[in-house]
Amino acid sequence: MTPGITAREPTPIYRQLGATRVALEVDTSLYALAAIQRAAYKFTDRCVVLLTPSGTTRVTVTLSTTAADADLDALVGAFCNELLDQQLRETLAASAGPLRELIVAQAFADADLLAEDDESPGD
Amino acid sequence: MGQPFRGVECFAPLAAYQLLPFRFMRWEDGSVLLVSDVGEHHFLEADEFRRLTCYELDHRTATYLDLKAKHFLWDPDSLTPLDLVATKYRTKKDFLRGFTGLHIFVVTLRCDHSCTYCQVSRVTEDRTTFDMSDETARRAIDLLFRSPSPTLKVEFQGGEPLLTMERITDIVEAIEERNVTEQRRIEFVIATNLSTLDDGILAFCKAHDVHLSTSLDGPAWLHDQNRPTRARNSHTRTIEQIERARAALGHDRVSALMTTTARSLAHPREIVREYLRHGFTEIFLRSVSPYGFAVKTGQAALYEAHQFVQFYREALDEIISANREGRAVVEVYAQLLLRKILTPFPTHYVDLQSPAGTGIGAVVYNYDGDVYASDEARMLAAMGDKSFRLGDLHTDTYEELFGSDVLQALIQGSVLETMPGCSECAFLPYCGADPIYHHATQGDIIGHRPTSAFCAKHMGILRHLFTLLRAGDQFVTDLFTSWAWQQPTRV
Repeated sequence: MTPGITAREPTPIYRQLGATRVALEVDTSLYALAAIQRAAYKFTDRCVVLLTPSGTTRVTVTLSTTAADADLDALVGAFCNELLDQQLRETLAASAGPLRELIVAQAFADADLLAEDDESPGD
Repeated sequence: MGQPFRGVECFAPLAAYQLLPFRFMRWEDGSVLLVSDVGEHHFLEADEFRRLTCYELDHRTATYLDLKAKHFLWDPDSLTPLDLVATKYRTKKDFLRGFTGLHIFVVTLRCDHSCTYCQVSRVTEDRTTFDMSDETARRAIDLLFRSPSPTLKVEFQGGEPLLTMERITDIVEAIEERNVTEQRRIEFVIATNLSTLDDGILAFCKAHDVHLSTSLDGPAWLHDQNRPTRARNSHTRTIEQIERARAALGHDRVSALMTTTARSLAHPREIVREYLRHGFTEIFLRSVSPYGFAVKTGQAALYEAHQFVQFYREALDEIISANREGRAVVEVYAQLLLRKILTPFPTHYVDLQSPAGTGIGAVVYNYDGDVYASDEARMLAAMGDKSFRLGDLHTDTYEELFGSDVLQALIQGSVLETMPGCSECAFLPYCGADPIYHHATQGDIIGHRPTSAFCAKHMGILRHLFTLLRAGDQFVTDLFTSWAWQQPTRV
């Protein structure tokens, strides 16, 4: 073992609630609620998904799969990766979203919304 | 001994770029597909994607320049890229200009076929109460010319429209007379099984430049099972009549569509070869629609979207192989999608638009005067569900029909950019909403994308097309590019 580094058991990322049901906690300081909801929606083809608040900074996601032989590790893993992608989409939308609105407005506007105001009044 | 100093380029600042709006989708091989709002696409390796989104992409790399050229990112020292993207966006939404271009006249519900998947609950040949009256036709023509579109496509449907050829004749002549002053570009199409086609009809079609669109489902054994007639000779008769029409009108004035039934699924290559055998240069691989007789006979529920996608992939492979062997043949659905993927232009295919083309791209005048937002809407009405009836030709004005609450709800409910599951999908610029399909299959016009067969079908087909484009086969890339830049002719 490397001196100064202590091995620690990894924290389980989900709790198994039965043969076909798991729950995991998502920290809302890392993931926007919209990202959690979008990820949950995407999984509604293979699971019943329940979102419940857990304190003020966490959301509990309960995934109940309809398949009796579902691989719960794989299911949760896929959900976590989907969560990351949805959060990235939220981040990208926050930075590029106003540009998207401006581009669409410019596409259909009669006026030039992008004109750079390089002449001061009275010039 | 290593180099004492690194080159000056190593000390250049990382580019202070900004990202333009795009969507992304993970790929099976670990790469990421990026698609911009205007349909430009680019594959990145996972690490490149991470660097892009962390604003760490080196501005000296080819990737950076590619992404900049395709407007995935920009250097915010000039607003010109935004203007260019806005222009591209306007071009992509050009299908909205001109408003309704396709006007479908359902001149009769009578038919001499009993097709297992027919989307109209048809009646027998001799019930003339199911023909469009002169008064109804006249009102439909008035409405046609209220459309601001400079290009109008008039399509005659049924039933079997040739069973009331005299009504078609009247309508075509009335439209042509009116167009002397209107000066629109008008195209006429009759969607027909050709069974009653005769020399008189052909002479009329020749004189008035009327295009014929028919159905050919595959080899005789398959076609005859799908499209039975009393004489049990539907395939033979169809082929004879196709040849007759080609001889009279010209080869390109007769096109054919196929409908995929459960019987078709195991025979994609046979179906393609049947089309090649009869000299077609276009094949339109279509899944069965969940309306009308297709529902009554159970055809609509006989296969899943993934089965159709598998069928489609094999048929497309056969078509590509034929092209490799020197037979120029196009798959029309791929062509529609590739036009959106590989060119700056839209298509006018109403099912693949956002908002949907219901009413604003196409409208249907039923034999009885009912006006529907699409062909599917009147098929649904034939099953007793008139949710998408816009009104009545005899009592409602153009403004009442096209400003109706029904049409506004359809438009508002088919904007992909606002729809759950679609708004973040990378395929959004290429796809459509089809609100009536989702009403019919899932009970509401927006629907549930994770379990939607429409979504599964289009995800499957688009993924396949991108996989083929990514595979780097130069022949396929060139073929797809040539398809994309040709205007789809019969949709």
